[in-house]
Amino acid sequence: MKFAHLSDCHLGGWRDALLRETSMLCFDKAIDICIHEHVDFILLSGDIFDTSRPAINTMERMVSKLKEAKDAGIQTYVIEGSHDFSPTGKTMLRVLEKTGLFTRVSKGKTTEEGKLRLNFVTDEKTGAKITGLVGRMGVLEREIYRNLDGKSLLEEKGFKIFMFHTGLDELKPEMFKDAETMPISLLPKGFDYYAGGHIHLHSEDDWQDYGKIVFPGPTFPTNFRELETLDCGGFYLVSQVGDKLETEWKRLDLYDLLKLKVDAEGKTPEAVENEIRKDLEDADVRDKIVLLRVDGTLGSGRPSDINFRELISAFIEKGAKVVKKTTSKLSTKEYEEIKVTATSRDDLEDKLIKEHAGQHKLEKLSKKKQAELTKNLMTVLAEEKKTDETNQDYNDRIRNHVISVLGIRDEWAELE
Amino acid sequence: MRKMEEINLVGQVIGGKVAKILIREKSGKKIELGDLLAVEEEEGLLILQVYDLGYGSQVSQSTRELLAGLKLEGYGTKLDFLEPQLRNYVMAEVKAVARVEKNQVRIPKTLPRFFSSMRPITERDLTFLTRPSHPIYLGKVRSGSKALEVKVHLNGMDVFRHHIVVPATTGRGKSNLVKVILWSVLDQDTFGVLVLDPHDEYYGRHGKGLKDHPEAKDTLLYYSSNPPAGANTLIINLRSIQPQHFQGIIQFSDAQQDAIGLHYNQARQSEQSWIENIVRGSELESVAPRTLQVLQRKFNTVLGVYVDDAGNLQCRNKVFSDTAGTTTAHDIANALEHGKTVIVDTSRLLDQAELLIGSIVVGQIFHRYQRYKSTGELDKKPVISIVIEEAPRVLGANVLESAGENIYSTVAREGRKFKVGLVAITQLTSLIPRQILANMNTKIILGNEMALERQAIINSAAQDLSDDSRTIASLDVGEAIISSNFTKFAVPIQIPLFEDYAKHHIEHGQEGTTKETRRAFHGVDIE
Repeated sequence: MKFAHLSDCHLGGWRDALLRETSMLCFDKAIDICIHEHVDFILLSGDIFDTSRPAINTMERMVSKLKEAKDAGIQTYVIEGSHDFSPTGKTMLRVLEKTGLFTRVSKGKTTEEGKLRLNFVTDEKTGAKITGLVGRMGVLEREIYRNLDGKSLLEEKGFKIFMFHTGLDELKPEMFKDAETMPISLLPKGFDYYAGGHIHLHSEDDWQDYGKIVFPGPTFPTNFRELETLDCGGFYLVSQVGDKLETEWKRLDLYDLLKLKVDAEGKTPEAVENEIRKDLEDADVRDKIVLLRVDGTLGSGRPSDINFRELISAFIEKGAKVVKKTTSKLSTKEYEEIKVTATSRDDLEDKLIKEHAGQHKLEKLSKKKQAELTKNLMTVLAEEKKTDETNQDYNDRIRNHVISVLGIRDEWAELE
Repeated sequence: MRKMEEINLVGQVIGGKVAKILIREKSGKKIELGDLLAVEEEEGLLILQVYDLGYGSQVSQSTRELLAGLKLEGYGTKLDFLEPQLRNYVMAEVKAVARVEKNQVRIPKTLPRFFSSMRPITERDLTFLTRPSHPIYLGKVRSGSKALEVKVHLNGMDVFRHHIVVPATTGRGKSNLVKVILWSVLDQDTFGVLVLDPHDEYYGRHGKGLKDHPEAKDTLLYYSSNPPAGANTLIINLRSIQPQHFQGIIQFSDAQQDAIGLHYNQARQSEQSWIENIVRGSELESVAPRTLQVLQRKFNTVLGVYVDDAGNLQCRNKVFSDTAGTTTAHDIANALEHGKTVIVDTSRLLDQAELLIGSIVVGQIFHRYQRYKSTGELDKKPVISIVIEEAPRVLGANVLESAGENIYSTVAREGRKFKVGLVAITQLTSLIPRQILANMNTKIILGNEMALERQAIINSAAQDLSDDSRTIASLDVGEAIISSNFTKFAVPIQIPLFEDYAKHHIEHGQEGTTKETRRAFHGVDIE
């Protein structure tokens, strides 16, 4: 048996068109390798798309690539991740599943005791039994894990794979130390392979009482920090050799990176500009993704006095594929320092929601429930208008989602 | 005001002096050691406590001996004195502990009037014992062996940061008390409590415990090397350990300390693990091979870390790892900072490993709080309390003298400035230096039959307990005395049995909270 394990592709995620395309190319490359390596099946452990309703062209690219795998006799198994997930339950992955392109494995039934009994999907070619659970923002899926019927999963015979999209406390990398995670002990026991997602760093561990717990990391870094620290994305090829599972992490490095770091401590904006220009002169930037980090406290002037637009143009003129800059650690003596301790947008949102939860008196809603509701509303309200959608349709769609999230469908019907 | 005679008179002041007021017991009444009595005065109420009992008689000793002889030898079994209740009686020694005027409590500085009548204290006399806004529940007021329906709460914001000592010998209910305290603060995010639990008795793995608290799901974390479902694995990455964490916990010679320093600096520069380098025997120019070997042995003994025949780093107790547990200490410190209670089950670890893990976590939270103080953020943070059993292991005078200061003694001396306090549990209070004991402003004194230990407790108590040695010796299981800078007098209490307290709270304490009637498994297709 040989299978591939991918996660966190975040297709359509980058705002920059070139990086968005690079992200897509990495996904294409991963599927090409899967076909070339004759894997039996592919696991996609969440966050395939960057949103639950991706753009048409992003879907088109993804569908045509997975179709190639399917035509090559490779079945794909999928769970939704925190970005794929929609609190209304309406995701593109559900729609695409109907085409037979892949199988979503997060399915089950409620037992008489109110627990969730997950169903297994058996891979026809290998007999591998696969199940899993979706991931949600803020590890809201923790509650589902607490109510999982672990006994039925443990008793199932055969080679078993559990797909999940949740960081684990014990295996959390230092760089994600502030990410919300859950303890390993909430995972059901008795699986041979735990196909993880959500943590954007590849790792594999053999954990006592559990099988191999694997996170492949993203197929392409999803932000500046990841580009800087990961260099590239990748995925795992897993082969069963006798009783053992052998893993190989395949790098997806379709590009060259150039990292430039400028220390602005005590300097003027002009001096910083000159230093960057000097770096540009000395460096070979052709066809490279350039990462420009400027840190420190300026001796005078403001960060906005540095003409980054011109500097970036100069890099592009010299042949750089794309230039990404960060000034998150650049400050000035002229202004008070603003502390931003969050490491990502999601992290910042979580912190702010938690900080403000409980300020409104919502009857029968704990702070935690308030935070959950806020998060769900934010996800729904962040939905953008589709290109082929009228204003009226868009309003209706968002209103329906909000009603669904608030759980006030009956009350709304009465009002109408 | 009702007349004393009409109420429930138990005695009358007949003499004595400050701190040793003599009262005569009314016939038919039974004054107990530790009883709280009340004298009603023009301005308010005087509360007194009995600390000794004795006989009093109007008849001479020889006459009493003669009467006993006559009865014993059969000369008249019905013989008695005329009006015996007037001639023979019980004398109680009491001390005034509080004066209550208009619900304000003050330390009494005058004696009650001569022949003042006394009655047992009632619930109505204690209305000044109010529930603070951030309460720690300890039990009910106890008068002698009778519990009154008056709950005793202390303000956790004050009490936790100024340290608590729980001195008691085995079997007097220490862990029961601590469980009651922790249960009462589990739903308050103004306190972060770290419990180093060497007996694995607080979580309730095999019975009732803190896990059964209605809020436990959100406010309690349990770390164990053998975690039940939902709990965390206690696993610490070797890279999280810094040389300073060993300070005062494990003794190293000067040469060993130098070697550790060199390895630590070298590993930091190359982003390696200094402990792994030592255990693997990586040589450094200035480190003698013999020193390296001794360190390897020490780390093997304390951390259980060694290199197997295949050259892989192994840890016998599975608590230390070279791959996992990178953020464990950070996660625990975060949880504490968010007002959660974290129990660390160290029952499978050696003493030194337990203290080392505590040192890593306590060091992290303490240094964070020091930073918050300097940035002005400390006021918004919860008070942190660290529960440590057998406290003399880290606070004992001999330990501090031989191994030097450690993070626990630093917290004991300086923690209150940074909102970090200890709950030190000990059988041997006398081993803790007076200077540290004096910093621990609340003592919850349980029964103790060892005179030396009682004396150490009395010497460092917030109130004058110099006459209470016998009372402390006679405290039964679940009975305690709270001596605190935050109480006006030493309050005798009856601590509830944890199981009963938890059951009552679960049955009656859930009003107004929501109960989920239907579980929703969002994102899962349900058949």
